[in-house]
Order: sequence, then C-alpha cells, then structure tokens
Amino acid sequence: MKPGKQAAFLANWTSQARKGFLELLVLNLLGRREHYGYELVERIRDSSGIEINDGTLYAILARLQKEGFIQHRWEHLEKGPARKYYDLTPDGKNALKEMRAVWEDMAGAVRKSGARNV
Amino acid sequence: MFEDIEAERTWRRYRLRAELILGAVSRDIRRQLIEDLTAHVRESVGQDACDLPEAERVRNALARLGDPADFVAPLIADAVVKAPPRAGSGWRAALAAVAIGGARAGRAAVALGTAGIGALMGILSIGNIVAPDRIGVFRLSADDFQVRLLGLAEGGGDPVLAPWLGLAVGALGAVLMWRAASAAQRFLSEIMMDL
Repeated sequence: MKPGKQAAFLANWTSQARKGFLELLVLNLLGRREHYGYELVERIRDSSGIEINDGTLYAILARLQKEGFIQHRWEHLEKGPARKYYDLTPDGKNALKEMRAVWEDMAGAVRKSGARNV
Repeated sequence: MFEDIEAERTWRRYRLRAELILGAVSRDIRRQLIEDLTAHVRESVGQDACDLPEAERVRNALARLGDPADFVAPLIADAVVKAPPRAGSGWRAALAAVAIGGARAGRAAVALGTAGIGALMGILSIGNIVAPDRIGVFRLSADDFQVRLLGLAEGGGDPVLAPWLGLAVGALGAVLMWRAASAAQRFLSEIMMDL
C-alpha cells in the first residue's frame, strides 16, 4: 500500500474506532459519578490524550441523551455560570455494562490473535 | 452574555453558525447542543487566565470547541439516516428557507432604505450650504412645502433650512449612512459564514 493511501486508511480507521471509544469513555466517566459538561470535556481531553475538539464531546452527549442513556440537571451557583450536570439513566447503566463487555471481548481477541513478530 | 462588545459579537457569530448548521437536526437536539455550547463557553471563559482580554478568552474557548460543521456532522448524518421521513418535512424546509430568505431580504431592504435616506439627506445638506436659495426645503404656502435636491429650476418659496439646520440634517444623514454600512457589514459576514 502506498504511504499516502495507508495514512488515509489509518486516519479513517482511527476516526471510526475513536467514535465508539469516546462514547464508551463518556458513559464510563458518568458511571462513576455525575459530571458537568466542561468538567467532562476536560477530564476526557486530559485522560485519553486524544486530540479532539471539545465540541465533539457535546455532540456525543447529545446523541447519548437522545438514546436515553444519560440525563441532566441544572445546578445554579451563587458565583459563576449555572452548570449542567450529566448522569447515567438506568438504560445507560445497562448499555455501559454491555459496551464494557464488548470492549473487553474485542481487546481480548486482539491480544490473543496478535502476531508475536510484529 | 459577555460584557465586552467584541467578545459578545464573536460568540454570537459562532452561535449563529452553529444554529444554522444544526438546522438539519431535531429541535430538541439543537436546543440541547446550543445550551451545552453556551454553558461550556461561559465556563471556559471564566476558567481562562483573567489577565487576557475577554474577547481573546472567548476566541480561545471557541477555538477549542472547533468548527460546528465538524462536530455536528455525525449528528446530521444520524438524523438523515435514522429519522423516518416526516410528513410535510419538505414543506417545512421550504417554509424555513422562505422565512430565512424573507427575513434577509427585509433586512437588506431596511439597510438599503436607510442608506438611501442618509444619502439624500447628505445631498440636501451639502446643496443647501452651497446654494441655499435653490436647494433645500422651501415653504410655498402655509401648509405646502417642497424639497429641492438639485436646484435645477427656480421654484420660489421661502427657504426653511437655516444653515445650522442644514448641517444638522447632513449630520443625521451621515449617521444613517454609517448605521446602514455597519448593518450591511454584519449582514454580509453572516452570509459569508453560510457559504
């Protein structure tokens, strides 16, 4: 494969893999405790090391809320802007369990099938 | 939302662009995303180094958010693929296009009208200073007035515009033209953002 084509293939593959990964990451963080949007974005950016736009995560939150996996509540602070806290719904908790299982299976399969001389 | 005018303008442009791009998704998602982006930018600007001007903090926050066209694309794709075709959605889209087009045409007409009135007032003012006996506003009888812009013909009557009043009319015309130019600039930048 030519280097340019290979780079394009990898970029596309990474983008596809990242999409599902980020959804799992968001649900995983919300599975621990509720987060407000900005805090969630900062944590994901810092912990995953993935270079993404903050807006991407809000699009993911919108999708997850549309699916009924997350819910939100507003908290009005005495100082500073109001914060929108996100949390998992019961459906979201179930989805997280299943997604984690799928992720573990996939990661296990990749580990088991990996060639040793690569 | 922001005290600084430039910061507010930058944010409004971004928000407008996001709203236009989100036109393809459902109202609920659009509202949620705009709500989230607003809260994020507000928080981000508050957390950023306070020694920076507010406009720069807003620009930084928006740069981190990225172009709405990029992160909204999957939502739009999702809406196109998943949403069943709604009855009358074509009509709604056409109505929305007509409404947006109508609003823009209205704004353009107001800007053009303002600029035209401003220009006429400017011409009247300059003419009145140069040739006060032929150009200006003239009283022909007790309740009959005539505006003469070019002063090509003798019309009689008493000039109404004193020199200071002529200057005031000219100043008002200049203000109207300046406002029309600002409105046209904002209007064009909105159109450019859509392209």
